[in-house]
Amino acid sequence: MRKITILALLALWLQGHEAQAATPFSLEPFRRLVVLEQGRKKPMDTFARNLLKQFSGRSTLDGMDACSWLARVLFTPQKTLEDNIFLVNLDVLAKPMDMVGWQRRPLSFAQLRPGLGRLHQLAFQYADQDESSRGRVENEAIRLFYNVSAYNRLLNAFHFARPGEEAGRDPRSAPELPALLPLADSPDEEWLGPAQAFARGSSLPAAMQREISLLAQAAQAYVKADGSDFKRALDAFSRSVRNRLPLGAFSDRKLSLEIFYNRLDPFFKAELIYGLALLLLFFSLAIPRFRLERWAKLCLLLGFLFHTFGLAARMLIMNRPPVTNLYETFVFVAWAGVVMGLLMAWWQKQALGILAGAISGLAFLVIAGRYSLDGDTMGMLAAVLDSNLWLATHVVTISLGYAGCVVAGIIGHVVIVQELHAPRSAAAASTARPLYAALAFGMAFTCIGTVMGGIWADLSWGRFWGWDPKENGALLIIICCAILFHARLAGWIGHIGLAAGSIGAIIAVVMAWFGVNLLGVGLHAYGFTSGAARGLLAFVFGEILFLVVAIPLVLKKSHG
Amino acid sequence: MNKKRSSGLSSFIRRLASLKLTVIALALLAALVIAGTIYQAENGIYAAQRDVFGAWIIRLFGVIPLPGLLLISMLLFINLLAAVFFRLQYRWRQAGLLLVHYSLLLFIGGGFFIAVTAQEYFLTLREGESSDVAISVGAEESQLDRNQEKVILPIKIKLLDFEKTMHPGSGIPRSFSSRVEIVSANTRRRAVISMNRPLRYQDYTFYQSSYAEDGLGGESSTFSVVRNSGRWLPYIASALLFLGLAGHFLAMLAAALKNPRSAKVRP
Repeated sequence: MRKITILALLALWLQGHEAQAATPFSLEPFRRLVVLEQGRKKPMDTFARNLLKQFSGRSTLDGMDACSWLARVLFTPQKTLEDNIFLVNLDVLAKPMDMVGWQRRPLSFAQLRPGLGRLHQLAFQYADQDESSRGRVENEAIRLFYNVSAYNRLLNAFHFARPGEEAGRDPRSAPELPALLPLADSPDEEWLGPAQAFARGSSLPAAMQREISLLAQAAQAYVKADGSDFKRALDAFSRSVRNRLPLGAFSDRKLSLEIFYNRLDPFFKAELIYGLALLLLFFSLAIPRFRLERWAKLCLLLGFLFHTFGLAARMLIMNRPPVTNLYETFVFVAWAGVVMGLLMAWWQKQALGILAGAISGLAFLVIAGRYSLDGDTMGMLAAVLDSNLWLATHVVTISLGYAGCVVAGIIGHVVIVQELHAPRSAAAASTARPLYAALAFGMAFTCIGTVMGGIWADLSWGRFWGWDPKENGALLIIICCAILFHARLAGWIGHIGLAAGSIGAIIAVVMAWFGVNLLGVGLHAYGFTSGAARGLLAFVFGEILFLVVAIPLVLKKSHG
Repeated sequence: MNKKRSSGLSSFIRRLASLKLTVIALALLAALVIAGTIYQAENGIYAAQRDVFGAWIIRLFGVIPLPGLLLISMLLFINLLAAVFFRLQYRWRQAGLLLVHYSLLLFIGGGFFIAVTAQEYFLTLREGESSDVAISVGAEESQLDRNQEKVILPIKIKLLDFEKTMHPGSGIPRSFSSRVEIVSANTRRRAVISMNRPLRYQDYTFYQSSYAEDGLGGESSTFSVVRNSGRWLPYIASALLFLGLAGHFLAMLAAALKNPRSAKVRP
């Protein structure tokens, strides 16, 4: 009974903390508008969240959810000039831009305005430079300029709905954001932004002109806070757009699912619950009397359910296998780590399983959360990847391999700590047994995944193996594991050596996984990669330090 | 005398087949892969293939000679061969692991065979253009005489039309494809070569590799042309590897179920 009460409370809390809407009426019809961005038709809800994250690094603004914020920007732009939405990562940028009062929180458009001329100049100058020669300041200037000009276009997207306001722009440069109106007769499926469509005026078909006036009505209803008119206009607009598109261009169910997925934010919830599991586990180890271990296991399971739902929802929304981009590798490896942890927890090693599962779940979801700040995590696939069978099997297999090695490495830390605590104890030797299994699993799946990658490469590019950095990384993991197994068999190393080596395998995994991605970075990858490069180095350095300090101590203790 | 020689020989073979040699060779390989990847980041893939991954000897700082990839893989191959004949145990329980090791022999051996025999060329055609002359890969980077790097293909290829489609509202390409006409000694037929869908003719394979636009509406398409008679070798090796790993997994599972206390098989 107590268990059920606590679970119910937890469920309430998970439901409860959605940001408040800023309007007295429902924004639901606005949330459900379909926007085309980066080749994908997505709900306005997703568009708004990605935009706000990209600008400010957060998904809400002063307790207001992203969609409410975007509606304000579009319909009552003058009120948003003081909103602090532009995250400027570098104080160095404040100086060349002559910004006063720079602080470590996001700036508003009004605050940035005096420096905009200078920013414009700098961004264009930097953008001309070769990508490899750009440093942090240069990339940050380009990123900020890109965000400010996107915001600027949003401010003007509905100017035609505000009669008093002067449009005063060349119609050809009218903002195309947000792309709401499909040009049905265009072969490459071009979509227009409201202002852009308005600028084309009477050259558009009658249905589109009617849609533009519906949008204007909605904008005016928003200003007057007339919820029913707002809903009527936007519903009529959505119906009209849908009627013009071919059947099955998008599905209402998927739209609802995506909005629910956004609102639930399953990966963030899973992250929190894994953290809780870890805390409970530490408490239970410190104070065994309380029997908190079962609760930790239950938490791990609950987090796993959220996590699984998130993965499944993404697969349904995009109609794609679970891993198709770097973001999804983090989510999937985290998930695979949790599955292995749960299996271990159920089979024999309860505490160890919870520990390994919760750590890998937590760590990789945190990384995924950081990475998601770069924009839509459900991007379209480039032509080279568009081959569902191989993408589905090769990438999933190799991610499972990564997960196996990571779990082995986590157990490796435990073995070394146990040896430090009580040298030559039976505990460490028995902990090393699942390490052996996890490492074997990791090696086998990395092998299979790599070979599948070779077959895919041979089928599409005509070579099985080409010494590409990514291939080399996978090979390195395999060699690393092979060295450990053969050295163990030769009697060169025991379970301590295996533990130390499995930490080496983790280093090989992170190098192969995203270390090689850092060799070449693009504009949008910047926000993540510059931080990631430092984080990666810090991690590798930390692990090496751990080995250099702990291993001699362990060896001394076990011999002396 | 005779006895001593044979024991010398057998200890030599034991050394060749030894696990320690395996570990040393693998460690060398790991170091080489790391070094080659870093070298590649600075000098490009072609230079890395020439100087590290396709070399018997590499010269550190241009002077100090170290074993290149070919030498190390030869060492691994010999070690593996010796192990397969003289060290590995032929028991049913080890069947999976045996298969894995055989597959590795085939991977390395096949790699040598392909490295020696396979050739890769490029063929770039403008729309409407036809040609049967391909240029060897690397000809652009190396300063050799272009004429020596050309090859006459057994068929003449004419590019009828190149087409690319983008995901709407973005710069992300959705697909590339080239419609071509193939003229051989006595036939003439049409085909489409697209990303992930190459054209095969005898032991030649034509892949859609890249494209260019001249800004005036004209397009050109580049195919990579691979002639590789050992193409099937890695496929056999892969099949063996899959079988071996599956077999070993089953053996481990059976052992774990039989004796749950020590759930492992010593390989």
